[in-house]
Amino acid sequence: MWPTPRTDAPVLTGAEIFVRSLEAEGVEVVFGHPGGAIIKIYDALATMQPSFQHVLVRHEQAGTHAAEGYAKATGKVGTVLVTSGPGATNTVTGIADAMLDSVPIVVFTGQVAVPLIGGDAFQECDTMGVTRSITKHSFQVRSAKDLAPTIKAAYHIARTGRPGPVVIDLPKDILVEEAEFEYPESVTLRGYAVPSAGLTEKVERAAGMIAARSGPCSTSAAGPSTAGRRKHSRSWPATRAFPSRPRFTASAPFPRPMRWRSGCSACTARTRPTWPSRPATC
Amino acid sequence: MLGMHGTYAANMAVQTCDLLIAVGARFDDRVTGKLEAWAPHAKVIHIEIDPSCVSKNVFADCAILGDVATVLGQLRPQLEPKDTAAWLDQIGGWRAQAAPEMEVPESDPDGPLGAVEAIRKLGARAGDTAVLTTDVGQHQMWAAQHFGFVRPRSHITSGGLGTMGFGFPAALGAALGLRDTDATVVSINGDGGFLMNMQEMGVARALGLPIKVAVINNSRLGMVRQWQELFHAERYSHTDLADTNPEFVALAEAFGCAAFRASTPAEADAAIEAAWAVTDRPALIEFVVPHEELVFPMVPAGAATDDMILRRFAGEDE
Amino acid sequence: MTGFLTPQQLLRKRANGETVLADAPEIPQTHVLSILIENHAGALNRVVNLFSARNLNLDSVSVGTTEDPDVSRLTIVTTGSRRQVRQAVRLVRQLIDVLQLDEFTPDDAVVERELCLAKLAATAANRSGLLELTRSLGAHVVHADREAITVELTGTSSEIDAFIHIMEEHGLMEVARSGRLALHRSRHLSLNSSPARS
Repeated sequence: MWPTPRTDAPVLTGAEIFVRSLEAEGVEVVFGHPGGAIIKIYDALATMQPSFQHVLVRHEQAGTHAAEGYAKATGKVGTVLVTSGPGATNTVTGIADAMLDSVPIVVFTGQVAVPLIGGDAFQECDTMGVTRSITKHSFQVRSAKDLAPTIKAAYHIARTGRPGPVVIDLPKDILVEEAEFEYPESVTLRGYAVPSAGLTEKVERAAGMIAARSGPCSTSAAGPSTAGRRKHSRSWPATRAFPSRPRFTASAPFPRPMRWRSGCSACTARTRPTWPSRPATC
Repeated sequence: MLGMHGTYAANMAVQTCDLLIAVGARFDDRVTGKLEAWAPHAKVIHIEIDPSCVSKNVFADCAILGDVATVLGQLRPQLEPKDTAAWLDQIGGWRAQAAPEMEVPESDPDGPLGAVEAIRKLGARAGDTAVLTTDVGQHQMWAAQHFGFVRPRSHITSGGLGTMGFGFPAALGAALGLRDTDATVVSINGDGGFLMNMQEMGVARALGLPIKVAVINNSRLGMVRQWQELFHAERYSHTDLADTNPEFVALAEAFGCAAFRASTPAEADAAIEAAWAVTDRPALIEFVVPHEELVFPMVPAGAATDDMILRRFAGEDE
Repeated sequence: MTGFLTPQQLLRKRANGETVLADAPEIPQTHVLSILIENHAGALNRVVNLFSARNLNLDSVSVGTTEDPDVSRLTIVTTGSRRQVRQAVRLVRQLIDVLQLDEFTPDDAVVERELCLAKLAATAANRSGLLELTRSLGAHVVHADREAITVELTGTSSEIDAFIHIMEEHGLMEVARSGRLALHRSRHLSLNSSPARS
């Protein structure tokens, strides 16, 4: 499934491969919390002076939300690193949140050693099972040689198409296992295709519908923001004189100076006599 | 903004338009309200990257699968500017119709502080460089309505799952990602949700992130309380936090953060200025507000989106 | 898209007092899906999860490797409204472990088979009659001992239903069914192209 490294590739431990892979992926910040299953990676962080910053959060859920905030603010993929069992289950809310809001994050969870999986070991949890329905995809790495290409694939999946969370479960023994390391330039996922351009006939049909109607009105969710190419959303409604009303999660895809953005025209209420009349709003 | 707490003009436009262009949307129930009555006159063009979202709830007369940016780029050259003046006038009319509800009277600087007023002050102070994160609840809706957003990616909130405890750690992540930019990260929280992940205050302080952390403290789980007031005969079951809330200022100071408290408009102005003067660590502002303030407009769950409650006691002012 | 109503269209029809026809989407129907998935742990679970998460019961699931050892073929029979199943199908298609999917409609030219093993209580007195009966129904004896005989039958699912129904009166002790297998007579799933739609 994965490409094989070139023959002169350096031999590293799984934990070292993890660090070098994140560096090669261009990761800048990792939100994490250590624990027994993942301690080899924390050891590697201490010895390798990685190019990314590790932020020690105080609860794994907050770590996932911080990664979401990072991803939403920058457009990059957020990264989380937690231990097995409770570390992993504490990330569940954040993973589900990222799934529903299409936020690209990659969550690395520790796991007990492969031979112990399924034996109710200390801090063991079926993380793959728990997170399966709330991730865009998930991987359990069963061999150190698979680690680098799995990380490459995970960031690719998280970032492309409709973005979303990806979990990589890391059994403890693969972090000490040694393998040749070469970060692949690309991986092929034969079951994953990302739509790009729309069908020409559909676009023409849409253009015809727009020409034929008198009162078009556009709504958008987070799409135009996360799609990144803001020049389109900026010039689009303005030049075409469309009123545009972003949905709640996308109150900011179109810059404010646009003439017909309906903005927010809500009004708060008069309240009880104990509370003076205060109909505040925009 | 349209939907349950969207604007009158936005919801009326959707209910009246003859063509609706949805760009990356899944039409969830908070947007559509009563589904069969939503956008009754509209043909729908749906541009979407996720095939499972097309015609899931709302039929797409023309569905274009693809990357939004690419598809908009394809569509643009095929469009001619249209004369939509009459339609825009109609929308302007709806906005004007709701306008009397929106006028803000001069508030007493030493009187009680409203949550909306506090959020508007924050938005005004934060200006164009603000990146806002919010938690979930009343303050989230007020922030969406009143904070004012300029830049893309500047409104960071838990929209789908509705996760209380999201706002502050999300601000931590946003502030780290934006620390080499001119952005000011502002986090608006309720007193309920803030307590769910406030332990990260120490992390933000250690990193020296100058996040402006607003806690809109009405001592209630306000959004649940609002539903209880409007739809459950004022049975306020387990939504009063007054007995269990901490001293937020003391709490923030215990983490080494700056902290300010405001319960009047004048104090709010001073606290905001003081918080903006802090540049080396987070600054928390606790806005003490009455709990009677509700989020309006509101489309009750299951109602049509043009069937809006604009205010608590309709007609009382007349 | 024809034949499907979105929830919005359905609700509007109801609100207008229009009757929803017998073939309307919410009437549960049997759907047969043929799916190629990556042959590794978790892939099957991911597909099956999507059905249970949408409250769709699976009538049968059969899975086995294909001509490519890295690929498994999964044949799913499920009963649900067309809208429910369509939504599940779209989500299944999006799974990264899912390589190809084809949905067989009742009009499709499909070859279907199911294997059934049935254990029948046999005594010296009824044994020869039982052998004759099962043979006449097309079953083969695969095992026999002093207490019972075990027979196999391959056929369409309804043939197997009928066989089991008859055997209930002839000492049926235990039944194991493989679940339905299906292949389209002409079009085929290929990893290099989408299935040709008829």
